[in-house]
Amino acid sequence: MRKLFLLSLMAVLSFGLIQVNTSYAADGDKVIYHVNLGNEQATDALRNIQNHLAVDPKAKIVVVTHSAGVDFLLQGAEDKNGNPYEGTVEKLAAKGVEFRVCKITLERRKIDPKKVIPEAKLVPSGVVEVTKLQQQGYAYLKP
Amino acid sequence: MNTEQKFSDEFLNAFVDDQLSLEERQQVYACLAKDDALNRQVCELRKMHSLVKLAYEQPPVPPQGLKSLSAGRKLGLGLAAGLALMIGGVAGWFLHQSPAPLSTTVAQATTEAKDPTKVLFHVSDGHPEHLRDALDEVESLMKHYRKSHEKAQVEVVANGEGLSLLLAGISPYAERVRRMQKEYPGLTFVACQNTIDRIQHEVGLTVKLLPGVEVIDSGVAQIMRRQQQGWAYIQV
Repeated sequence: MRKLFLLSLMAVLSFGLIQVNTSYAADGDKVIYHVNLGNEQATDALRNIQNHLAVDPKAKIVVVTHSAGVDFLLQGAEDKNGNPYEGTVEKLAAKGVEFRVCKITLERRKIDPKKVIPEAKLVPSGVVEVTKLQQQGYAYLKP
Repeated sequence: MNTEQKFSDEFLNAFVDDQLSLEERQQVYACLAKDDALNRQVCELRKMHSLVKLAYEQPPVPPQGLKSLSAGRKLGLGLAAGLALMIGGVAGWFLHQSPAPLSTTVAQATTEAKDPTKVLFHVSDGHPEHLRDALDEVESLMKHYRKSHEKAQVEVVANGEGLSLLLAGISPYAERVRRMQKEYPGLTFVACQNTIDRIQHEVGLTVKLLPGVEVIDSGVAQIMRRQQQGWAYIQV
């Protein structure tokens, strides 16, 4: 009961966040999805993006990752149910979604850049990328 | 409406502890929307729960903090729920206030030079690892700007549990904050007055901020103001 309530509360809260943020996206059609917390957040982000594109297929979506957020874009990455991320990423990339990975994170965590899947592009810094895109009129959304 | 008559302390504690049925909770939420006193009472309870959590995660604890522990029963069970409730509580609390004073002048807002890049980092999670990651991100951004000779103004706004980053005696990174303040002239650390007030008045903790930390009325209002002023926003 307790867990259920907690989960539902979190669902309501995060739903609230997404609601608020997508209302920004409606004007500009350009949206950053910021992923820095790990695979669980990435799973949410990918689901949100699929729904986002279902509602607004022309939205320009850029997923910016750093810290633990890069993990789902490494070769062989799977979600907690053992499903590989790459298939979903490929499908979204085919729809024009861009995936960007922070170089500083790769250096800091000693991850070989070759391990990053080909759908994702390296950028010098995830945080700089997030700020630059906002200067270009992108809305910021943190799933 | 008289709170005491409506809900007993035990009932409200059960509410904050997440021990009530859906129907009972709905009853409380309905009253919260209309009753300031009840709202404050619940805020206070929630704040206490989250402070207890803070105290557990981040020793050393100031002596006053220990006193408040005795009241924090059932905390092991309620921690996670308490955190989620606190987020809700804070959100609810803000919604409940009259509109934030958007026109309040902030020291730096008026003294901007020719268009430096402006970035606001929002820190609201008090977990030490999280705070460390946040500082890492801020620092690598500052290094980037220094290297590229780009003028930048960066503000780290801490509220809720994230305020622990800036509390003397509690922050696990006091020294690092001090070093970063010195090393990067465009960087400021900013604390939320609302959070400070809640800790001081509702729990009785005396809040001491790290040296050089600025204070703004409300973290949430500041985030809105800054975005309206063209600042980039990033939650770390």
